[in-house]
Amino acid sequence: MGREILTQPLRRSLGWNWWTLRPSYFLVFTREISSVFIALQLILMLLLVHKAGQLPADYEAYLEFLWNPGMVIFHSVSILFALWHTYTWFNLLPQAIAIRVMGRKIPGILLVAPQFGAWIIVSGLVIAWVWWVGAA
Amino acid sequence: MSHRSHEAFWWTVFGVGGVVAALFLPVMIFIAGIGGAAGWDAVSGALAHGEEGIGSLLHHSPVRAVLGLVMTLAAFHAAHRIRHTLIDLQVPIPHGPLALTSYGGAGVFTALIVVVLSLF
Repeated sequence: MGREILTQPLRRSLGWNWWTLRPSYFLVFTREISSVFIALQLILMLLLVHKAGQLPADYEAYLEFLWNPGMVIFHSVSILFALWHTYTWFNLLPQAIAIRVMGRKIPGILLVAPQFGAWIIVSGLVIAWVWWVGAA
Repeated sequence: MSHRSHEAFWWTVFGVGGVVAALFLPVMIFIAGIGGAAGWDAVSGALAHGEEGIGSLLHHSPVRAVLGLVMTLAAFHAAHRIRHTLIDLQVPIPHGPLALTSYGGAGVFTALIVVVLSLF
């Protein structure tokens, strides 16, 4: 009996409204909710690619929908959540793994900074490529 | 696979999907949703219908492969996180059907993106 309890994961139930109890919990909640915006944006992108293979009028009607002011507000909120996901995800790495060199733990910044570097390079390359295609 | 190996598998997919979403999603949302709407001609040109625009982007098979992989991994990441958020919010859905709906939804999304991309 005692052994069973010791091998079970510790679960403290805070209730469904756990995210209202502390500001830090609320930030965790916003990080989790970013996945809803990511999922919705993925569906919109799937539809964009689908419409690109349809008649020009269908595709242009979809772009009109995608770029109407209400949707642009939604995209702006989505991009804030996506950036929040990026920031929190990259900062999780030092908590997830501890790399030691010659017995010393590598400072977290050395794990986080290269990820932001990669993010800048990837974003820059994608924008430059789209720009090059669009301007051609 | 045991329950524990199932969880390990989904956590791995969640981790890789999280990295991919962090790297690609902000710029993808910016291009698809904001750049063209803001009147930036280069983005509108790149997203125009046909071979001069989005067709020229999607006709490269490495582009379709990367796009498909990014969207698939990000979808499974989002599915895993939504599933655990619903559990944390104590939404009264049994864990089995919730997992099936979450990962099943991401699976259906993956099938759709493969079909759509294969048409180019």
